[in-house]
Amino acid sequence: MFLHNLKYDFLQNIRARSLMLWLILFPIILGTFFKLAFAGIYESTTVFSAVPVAVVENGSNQIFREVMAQISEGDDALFETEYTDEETALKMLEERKISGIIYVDEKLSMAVAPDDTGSSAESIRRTIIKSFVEQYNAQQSIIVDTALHSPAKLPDVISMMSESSECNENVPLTNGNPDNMLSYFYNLVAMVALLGSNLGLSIAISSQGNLSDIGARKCCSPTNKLVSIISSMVSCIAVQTVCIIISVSFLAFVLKVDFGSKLPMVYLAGSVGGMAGVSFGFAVGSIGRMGLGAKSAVTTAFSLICCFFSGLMIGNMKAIVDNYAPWFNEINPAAVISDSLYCLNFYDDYTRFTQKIVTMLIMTVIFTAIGFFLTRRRKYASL
Amino acid sequence: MQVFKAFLKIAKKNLPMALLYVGLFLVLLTFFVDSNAKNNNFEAARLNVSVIDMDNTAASRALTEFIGQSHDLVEIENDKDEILDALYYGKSDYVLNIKEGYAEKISNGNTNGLFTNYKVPDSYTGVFVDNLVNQYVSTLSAYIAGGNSLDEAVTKTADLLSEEVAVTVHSFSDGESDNADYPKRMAYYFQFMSYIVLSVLITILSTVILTMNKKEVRSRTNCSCMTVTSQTAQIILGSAVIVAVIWVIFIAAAFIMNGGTFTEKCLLAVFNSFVFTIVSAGIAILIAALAPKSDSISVISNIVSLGMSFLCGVFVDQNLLGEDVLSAARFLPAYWYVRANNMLSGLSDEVFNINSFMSFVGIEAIFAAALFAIIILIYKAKHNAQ
Repeated sequence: MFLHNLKYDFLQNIRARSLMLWLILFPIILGTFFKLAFAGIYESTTVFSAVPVAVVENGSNQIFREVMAQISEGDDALFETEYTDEETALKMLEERKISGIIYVDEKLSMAVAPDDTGSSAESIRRTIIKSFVEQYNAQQSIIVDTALHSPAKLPDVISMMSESSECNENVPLTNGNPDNMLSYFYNLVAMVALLGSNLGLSIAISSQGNLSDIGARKCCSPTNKLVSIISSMVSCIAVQTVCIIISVSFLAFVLKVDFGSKLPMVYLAGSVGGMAGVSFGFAVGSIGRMGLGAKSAVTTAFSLICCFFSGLMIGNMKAIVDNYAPWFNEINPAAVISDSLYCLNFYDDYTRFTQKIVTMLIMTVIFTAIGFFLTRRRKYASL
Repeated sequence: MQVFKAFLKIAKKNLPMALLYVGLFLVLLTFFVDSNAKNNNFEAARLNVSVIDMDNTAASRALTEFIGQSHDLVEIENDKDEILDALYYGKSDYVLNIKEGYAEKISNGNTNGLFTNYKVPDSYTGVFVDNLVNQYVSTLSAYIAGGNSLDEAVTKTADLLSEEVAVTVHSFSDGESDNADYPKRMAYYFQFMSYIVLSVLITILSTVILTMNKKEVRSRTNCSCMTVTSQTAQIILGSAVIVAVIWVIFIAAAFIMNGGTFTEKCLLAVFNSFVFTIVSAGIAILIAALAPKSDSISVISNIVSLGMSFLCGVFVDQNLLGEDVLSAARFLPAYWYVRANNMLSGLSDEVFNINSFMSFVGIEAIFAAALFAIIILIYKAKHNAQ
């Protein structure tokens, strides 16, 4: 009986082509948009490049020129310096060709344009200029101070300041791709998985006699409800898995999104996430007597909200949530799915990844149980 | 007016769902505004820095305190996974580990291997904090080389480095883009509202219109003596009522959020949002007119609303998007909406000018006109086909 049901459930899902088609188109279209929109954002906002500054001198200061030359050369140059007069400098600042102007006088001072771009990289660039100016002034005071109080130590002090120290060593944490724009793609996969809830709705709708003709037909058959629901579930999950596989393949191979080195596991995580999505749709579909349209609005709104809090619209939303309500990230299905992809990219071992997968499986079981308890034993005297 | 009445009746049936939707999205809207609103003056960038102090001496605590003066200290466990998470999600921008023996080494004039750090490779934040730490160490060791004791050197360093340089801020606009009358919060509210309105309208309007378009209902209406133009006009009129109600709810929320007043610039933003809401309604009705099945509406609604919002700079600021993307986005109404809003708030480099603001809004209006012309054509074509 199970196989018989399964066959018709498959036919039913495949014939309702439009939803399947859109579920596949969704990540393809949005993924392409993401790729277009985010091209170069990571490079321009996060990756450091030399800060463009203009220097306006009041008289000539040889020491300053030497210091500036030292930090403006080589691959890891801090500044890209241009010496010019005040008028040109202001013009460059207005056109945002430079991040700031350094005025060289007895002490250094600086000028910037108003911070209205909202760009954090620009704000850090300005602060880098500011801290350079402060450092220069500070060192100047130390030299003056030492020259006044203990001139004998002056050579020591100067050598100490000009010595390039290796005081701070960076420890690389991961071999993964550090581009934080990736989290948008993780959330896109999560969204596709959760939109599977629209497929899951059909399980409930087509088993409820008062909501669909198929439901009415099923209700008058002697098949065990559990068997018929499980077969619907299996067929929906299969369809959803196909959607996920196509989505991930498109993102990974056509758009060349770098998911890290464990691609097969990305498929696994997406598929298990899809199961959670389908079962969620089943649970919502089983509540009340609302029609397909209204229920689908509920599941979609839910999916969107989950994805909002896991960072689909604002990349670092998950960190903000983590500050206020860390438990929410553990139970938000979108966060769990996108986290599992993140773990694959960053961690060498599978402990956290396994935790996330188990969480998704538990969600699937809970949602399915809710759906089943709500639909079981429902009988209709007349339709 | 039968069609119009039927339309509102169906809308009334879907009221709880619609209210739920509007309510949920209002919540998202407030979250979005809160997480985006920023200040406008020059403020040194405050980063989130975590310090793991293994040395725990007066000198190392002084360093922590020094970092804490210009940045926010974020506590973190000394655990690799947790550090990785914190760095990736921007909870912490830089993790500095002060090694044991820091105080002893530096008082002997040895500055090698004092710290280890974790950071996003090659990032601005990384270079920035690296410099800050180097600056501190070089100043401190210079004082020590100058014959000061460690304690004296720590105090002097703290004093010296707390002297801030004055920063002149050159404002190039003629003073008109004063932001006091259009606060950042409002700017972000209206920016995100474009996504919300589009998403809400597609879901709610299409649910109603699809019910109207059901084969039986459609055939019954078509065999009446009512003209197609009149039917379409009544559907548009019915939509207008729903759209107006939703728009008023969002504007009322903005009004309350802004403390019960609207300045002139806020009113311009309200006007901009009004025109964009009409455009959104056009998109929603068009989708409902074209959509094949009700089960795919929600997915289509997401593609359209999320896709347009990402391309046009609703979520990610327009000045971060590439030139190519923006030139493609010109063909979408949300681009002009966001551009007008950015100009109003000074979020972009464009200086506010009422004429260009109106021309942006005008372009949105042209989109709206085009959409409604297409809708009328489609209904006519559909009617003729039947």
